[in-house]
Order: sequence, then C-alpha cells, then structure tokens
Amino acid sequence: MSSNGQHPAVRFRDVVKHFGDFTAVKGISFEVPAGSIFGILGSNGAGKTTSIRMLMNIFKPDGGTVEVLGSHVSERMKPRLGYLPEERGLYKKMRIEEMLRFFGHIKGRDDAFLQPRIDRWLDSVGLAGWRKRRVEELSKGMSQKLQFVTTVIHEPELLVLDEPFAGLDPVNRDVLRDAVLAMNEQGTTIVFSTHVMEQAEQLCQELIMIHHGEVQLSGSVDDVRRAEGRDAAHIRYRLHAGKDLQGLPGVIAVTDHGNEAELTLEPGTDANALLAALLERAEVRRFELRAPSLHEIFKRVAGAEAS
Amino acid sequence: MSRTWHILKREYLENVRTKAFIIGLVLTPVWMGVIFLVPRMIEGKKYETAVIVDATGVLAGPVSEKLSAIPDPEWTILTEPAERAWEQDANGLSRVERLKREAGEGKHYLILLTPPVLEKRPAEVSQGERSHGVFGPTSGVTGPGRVLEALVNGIVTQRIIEERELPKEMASLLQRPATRFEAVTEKGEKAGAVQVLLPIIVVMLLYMGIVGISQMLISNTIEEKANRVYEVLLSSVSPYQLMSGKILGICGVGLTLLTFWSGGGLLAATLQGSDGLVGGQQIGMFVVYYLLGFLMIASLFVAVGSACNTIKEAQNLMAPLSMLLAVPLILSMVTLQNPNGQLATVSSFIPPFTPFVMMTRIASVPSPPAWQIAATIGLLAISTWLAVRLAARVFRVGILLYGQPPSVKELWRWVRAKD
Repeated sequence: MSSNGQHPAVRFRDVVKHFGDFTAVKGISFEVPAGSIFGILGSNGAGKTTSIRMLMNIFKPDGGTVEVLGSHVSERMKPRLGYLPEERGLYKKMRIEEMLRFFGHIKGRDDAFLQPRIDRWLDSVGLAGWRKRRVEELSKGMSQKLQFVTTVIHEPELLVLDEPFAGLDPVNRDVLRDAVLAMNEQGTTIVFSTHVMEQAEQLCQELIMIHHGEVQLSGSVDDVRRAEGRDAAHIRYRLHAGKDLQGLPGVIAVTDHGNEAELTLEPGTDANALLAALLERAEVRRFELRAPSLHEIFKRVAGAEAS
Repeated sequence: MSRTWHILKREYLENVRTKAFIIGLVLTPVWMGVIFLVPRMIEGKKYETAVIVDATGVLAGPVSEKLSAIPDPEWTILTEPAERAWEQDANGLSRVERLKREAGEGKHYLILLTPPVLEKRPAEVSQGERSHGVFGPTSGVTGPGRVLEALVNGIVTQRIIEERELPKEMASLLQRPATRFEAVTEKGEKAGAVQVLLPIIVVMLLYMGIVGISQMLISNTIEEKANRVYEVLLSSVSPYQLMSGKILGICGVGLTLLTFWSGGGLLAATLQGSDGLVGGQQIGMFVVYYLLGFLMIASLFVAVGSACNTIKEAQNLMAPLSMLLAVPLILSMVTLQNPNGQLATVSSFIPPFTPFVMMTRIASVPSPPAWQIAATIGLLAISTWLAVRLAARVFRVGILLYGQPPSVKELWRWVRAKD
C-alpha cells in the first residue's frame, strides 16, 4: 500500500529477465503511484522495453514479481491496460473506424461503449473525416495519432507508452502530450519510457533511471536532481573570437549546445567569479544557477557505468 | 474465447472481402472445367495408318473392311504384297523388317498375317516359320494396339469357324462377348463418370482446402509481422489466442470455399440425375478430416511464418515441409487403385497423410472398416493437438523477433523454453 492508501498502479520486486546468456534486467524494483505520471528513463538497450513488456505480460520474468493494479500481472489484467509499443503497427487494409472498433472489442468493450468514444476521439485528433478510409491512406503523422487512439479507446486505468514521442513532429508531439495529460487528470496512471530527458523532466512526477538492466536512480524529478548534490550554471552566450569554454573556475563538465551550455559545478563554487570569468570570454545573454538537468545526471550515470 | 473470436472474425472478413477471394471462388471451378474439357475439344478426331501384309491370302480383305468401318480414329489402310516381303535386300533387311521398324517409329501400325495365325498361338510358332502379329509404337499399348488386336482376333476366329464349317448357332455363341465389365455404385446402380471421378475430386478439394489455403498463413503472418501489429495486439490478447484466432479465421475461409465449390458440384450432379452421390456420413467425415488436417498443417505454416521476416526466408524453412506435403497426392493416386491395400492402410495412420488417404478410401468402394476411421481420427487429433502446442511455442517467440531467421536448432530451443 502506498501512502495515499491505494495500491500502487505497478509494483516491480527484484525482477530479473534473461535472454539466453544475456541478462537484460538485473533485479529491478520500483513502484508507480496510482494516478501519477511515471517515467522509465534510460539509454537504448538499458532494459526499458523489456521491463515494459513484462509489465504488459508479453514477457514473463525469470525472477521476482510484477504486480499491476493490485494483482499479479496476468492475461486477465490486459483489458484494464493500454499499451503503445515502441514499434507501432496497425492493420493497413482496415478502415479506420472498423479498426478502432476491433481494438475496442479485443479489450472487451462493446459497440455501445465504443461508438461515442470513437466519434469523440476521431474528432479531437482531426480524423473525423477519415473514418471510412483505409489505414494505408493516412499520412505518417495521422497514423501515429490513430495509433494512440487505438491504445486508449477502451479507457484503460493504466496507460503504458514506450518511447511515445519518438518520431513525432512538434505539433503532433504537443497533441499527444495534451491527450496524455488530460487522461492523467481524469485519473489514468501513465507509465512511459524515454531516452529524451527533457520530456521526462517536463512530464514526470516520478521516475526511475535504469542502465544496463539496473535501477540507478529513482524518486521525483526534484528528488533526483537534489540528490545529485551539485549545481549547474545554464548559460546562453556568444563567444568572443578565439575564446572557448574550457578551464572555467569551478566547472567540472561542460555540455555545449552551441548557443547554450550547461556547466556542472563543483560544490561551493563562487558563481560571481564564474560569471566574471565567463564575461571575459563571451557575451553572456543569460546566466542561471539551478540543479543539474536529468540530461546531465543521466550522462553521469551512463558515463560512470561505461568507464 | 471472446478475444479469440474477435481475432478470428477480423482475419476471416479481411480475407473473404478481397477481390482475390471472390475471383478464386468463381474462377477455380471454371478453371478446373477448362482443364478437363479443352484438351478433348482441341484434340478432336484422330487419324491412324495400318499396313497389312497378308501371307494367308484370305484375311486382308475382312480386316481392312472392318478397320475402315471404325469412325475414330479413322484408319488409312495400306496393303503390301506378301510374295517378296521376307526377301532380304542389299543391306540384309527384309521389307517386313523395315515395316516393323517404321511401326516402332510411330509411322504406322503393322498387321502381319502368316499361315500360323490360323493354326497356332503366337508362342507356338517355330523358329523357321514366318511369325505373325500386330506391331506399333509404345503409345499404342492402351489405345489402337488393343483395338487392332481384338479386331484381328475376331476375324481369325470367324475364318476358323468358316473353314471348319461349324454350325451357325455354335459360331454365334462363340463369337458373342460373354460378359462385359460394368462399374456400379453402392446401391447397385450403373456408375457414371461422376462416381469414378468422385475420390479424385474429393482429394483435390481437400488438398486445396488444407495445403492451398493454409499457405495463406505464411505470407499473412510475415506481412503483419513486418507491419509491427503483433506487439500492439499482445497488449490485449495472449500469443495463443492470437495464433488460434488467425488459424481458425483462415480455416473459415477454406470452409467457405469448400462449401461453395462442393455445394455447387453436388447441385450440378443432382441436376444431371446423379443424386445421392455422397451421404451425410461422408460429408461429416470430410469435415472432421478437413478440420483436423487443416489445424495441423496450418499451425506448422503459421509457426514458419512467425519465425521469418521475408517470404524468401520462409521458403528456405518450407522446403522440407513442401516435399512432405507432395507425398499425400501420390499416396492418394496409389490408394485409388487399391483402397484397402497395405500401403493405403499403413499410410492412413501417418498423421500428415491421414486426411488425404482416408478421404480417398472413404470416397472409394469398398469403404474402409469403421475401426480404422475411428483410430485414424483419434491419432490425427492427438498429433494435431501436439502440432498446435509446438507451433504456439515458436509463434510466441517468433512474432517479436526481428533480424536473422532462426536455425532449426534455435527453433527447437524456443519449443523447449519454459513459459
């Protein structure tokens, strides 16, 4: 039981998964609070998709237990879950409305339940005029939106999204994000994986960061950033000719994006001295001290493991 | 069950609503008709040549008279003088020898009549004597050769009767055909071409329905795997439900085709007066053998499809399976000759062959014993169940695996892996 008296939406306990000699998941444990937006972060090959497939009962764990919505994960739970896999796929020959009905039916919903929701969803993602068309006629952006609708048409209690924003243009990314937030407001728990840390930072209430099949960090975004125990200076700048950002006082690492950079600082660094040193090298348009971004933390975690 | 039902329904509708299905439904019987009828129409009337060398001096006349009365093939008759026909030329060959060789080349049929033909069996002709006979190419063994043989035999008999001055009454008794072979149905009625063809038609239908239709599952599984739709489906159904739904949906497609074709065929036969061609019991057994056979073969195909990413990869894995599936057609042909023979009986108990061999036997006369029907159905049901379990284990892993196709060893590892 979590603090608010509800079952956690998801509970992993010492979960292990092998593929032949390779161990993809090495005993991970975490809980997703009911009603939250929860991020599973990690680089490619960290074990995110494997963990999500175990959560969806597509893979069976070799060790440990997986609980979903208060019960052991099983086929019986599937109608209560919605899942958007990383590799999207639809029946290309089917007509859009017919396909949505099919995906609703295999989640155990009947036409009376589905029809108003199909109308509403197609309307809200701008596909209302396409309902009799075949899926193969849709543009890429349209079929990605349709894919999301197939995932939620039965109104799941827990929505699991594997890299949901990958391959979306900014407009569709916003459409999807708004839809996810709206569902969360209505009580749907959201679990999503990503390797794009900015998204996690914007959306997640809680997260875990996994690397090589192990949980490296967990907690709320603020917890994780505070636990890092270091500050960072976020700057927007233009270098003077012949200058660079190397060797600034108190700076451990520089992530240079060109116009902007994140400078990871030693504890107790004098920010004013740093700013003064910076002004000698560059025109500084913005200078902000805050906790390091998840991106920086992630790089440290992944980098430490690599070295 | 209801989730499997929705998968089944979708699979069925998607395949039945295609143009290809409708075209296949209508055109296959038309095509079969064309294959049967057109060669006969094109072939038309045939022409043959017979060369008669008559050393008896009395037989050539009646032989050519009878021969020219045959309408099809129409015979051109050449008579060669017998006097010098056995004399060797400069190359050491006689005229008879040359004509015989030409007969072997297919130029004509040679009817060689020498005095012993009126006195002895062909085997009794001694070395020094000029032998007699009917000669022709190997293609004549079943056709014109037999006709000529019977014709000459009849005329020789007639001549003997006349020479020995047998009473007319006795002569006509000797010359009449004493019996005639007649094919009959189980009810003792005269059997027409339909009854003779029935076992062949039944096996063709079964083969198309099982092997032809279940092959759809290979390409269809590969295509859906390429579309990446399986992981989406697995969030709603188990791999087993998905596989069962797919197989049963395609099975429904096959049943639809078979019902349409065999229903149409039975209707046509009834309209032509051959009613009662098949009984309800035979139809029932057809359905049982079809369903079990289909489930077994289709589950193997679906497993192959799930393990592969391209049709080409599938073809490599399919090669041994395809060879195995050619065997029942050959077995059925052998079974037709001897429905309750040893080969037919033994192969009835080899599960992948059971439906084809058993249905050939059931459509033939006499029917196989009831215990064999029961035992083969039992054995087939157990093997089908095993095949489905095996396929499910491969399917479960295969549909989520991309990249290198697995080796047979790798497939076996999937089968043995625990859940």
